[in-house]
Amino acid sequence: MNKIEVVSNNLILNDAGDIISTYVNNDILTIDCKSDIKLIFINNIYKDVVINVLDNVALNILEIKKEDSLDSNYKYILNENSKVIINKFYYSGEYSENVNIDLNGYNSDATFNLSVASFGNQKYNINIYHNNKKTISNVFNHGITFGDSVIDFIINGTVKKGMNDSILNQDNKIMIMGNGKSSIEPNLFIEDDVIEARHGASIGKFSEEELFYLETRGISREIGYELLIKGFLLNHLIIEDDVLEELEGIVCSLRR
Amino acid sequence: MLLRIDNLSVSIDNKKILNDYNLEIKEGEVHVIMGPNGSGKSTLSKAIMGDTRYTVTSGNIYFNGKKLNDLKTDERARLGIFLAMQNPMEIEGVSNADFLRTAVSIKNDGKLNLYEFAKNLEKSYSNLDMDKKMIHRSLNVGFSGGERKKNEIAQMLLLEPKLIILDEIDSGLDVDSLKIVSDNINKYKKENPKTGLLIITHHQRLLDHINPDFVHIMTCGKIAKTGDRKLALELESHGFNIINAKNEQNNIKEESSNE
Repeated sequence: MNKIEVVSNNLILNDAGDIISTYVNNDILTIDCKSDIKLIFINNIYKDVVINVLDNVALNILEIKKEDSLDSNYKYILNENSKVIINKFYYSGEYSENVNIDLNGYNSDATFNLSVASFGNQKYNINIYHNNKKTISNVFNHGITFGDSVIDFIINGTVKKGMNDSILNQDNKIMIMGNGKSSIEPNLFIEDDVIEARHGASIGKFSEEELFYLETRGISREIGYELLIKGFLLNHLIIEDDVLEELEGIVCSLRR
Repeated sequence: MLLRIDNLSVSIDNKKILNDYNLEIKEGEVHVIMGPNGSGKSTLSKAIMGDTRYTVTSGNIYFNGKKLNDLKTDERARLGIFLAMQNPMEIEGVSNADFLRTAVSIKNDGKLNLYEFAKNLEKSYSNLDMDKKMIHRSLNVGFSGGERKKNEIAQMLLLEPKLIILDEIDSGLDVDSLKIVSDNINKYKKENPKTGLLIITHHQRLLDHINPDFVHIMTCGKIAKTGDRKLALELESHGFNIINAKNEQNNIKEESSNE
């Protein structure tokens, strides 16, 4: 698959050719994806990013943000029969992000996997609009807060009247390692009757039973936490082994 | 002496569960604990492992002469004590392979031959008639009751303990699985004859496969009676009345002597 990297504010084009076009206008980075492609964002500093996925295109996005970043707005526009898998791994302090996923095309399909390790106040406002029939959205947000840090997830899934046979899945979890008070608002706004929808939200701590189980196998509490955090943050991301290995290294250093 | 428990009393939420409990297990011995629900059998296993939710109010536990009371759970495990749990935990996101790789690596002081590890893991799954694909699945997630119990034994085989505590390993196992699990335990025991076994069970059917040296019946946080395999068979036939009858006889004797 072709690949394009956005490292900070530099675009690195690898044989992109006619597959995509990118342009910056009024500080908004716009990317039109015309054929199957993989996009990698490392520490993106564009405040506004618009990604337009044309008909029948499969897009795979990996985004990693380290340390503090500017607040960002992302808009993903999916056209007919297009499919997007978005994997985001962030570990940072103060941050907020707005995400709009517009499922405009018939049979368009978006998976949004977010993993966040928070060391400050963070807010994620994620809006999914099912603007056509037979559209699918899967949203999985996993966050861990350290110290007094906070994560607020607001997830709004909207299906307009007549956009039948659409499927919405939301699963949102926050694990608290310190004392901060986090929140999740999982909202479904559904106007059509022929829809499949699920949503879930949980906030809590790793259980003593889980830690005890690991300890009975000779694994110390410290390493037990590492295993649990790694599993919680990385298991739902759809990423290649070399990226997984890099992220595992980051996760293991989070509590040190 | 492999395990020695001296006058151990254990409470949870200020409720006394084990009461002045004593037990000795020598190297190679197989001990079975039976008893009614709530008699303290599982509390005993958790207390030996150092579960912090249980408070030791008095008494001591020694393993190979080393006092365990002040050791953390993982330190006790690294000494060679293994608890196969009644209800093994499901841990989403932590794969069996990753979990066991970490545990085996720690046991070997950070050294791990990945090829050997993978070979041994696959072999143990194969011996237990488990699907090797499960190795890469989240720990016990989506496993049947029987598969979870087998997974405990797979872990046991890889961690090579000196004392194995089996807390109701037979519950949730069908006849064939019980035989497979028992065969694996017996094989391990044969290869490691000094290993001690402490089996907690409600049913004597497990003892059709694993031959015990001692059978203890627990009631009210204490051992009420000790015998051999015949005691388990007697219990299966007559229920816990055999203990009640003994207690009544003792009471009558006490009343007569008071008179």
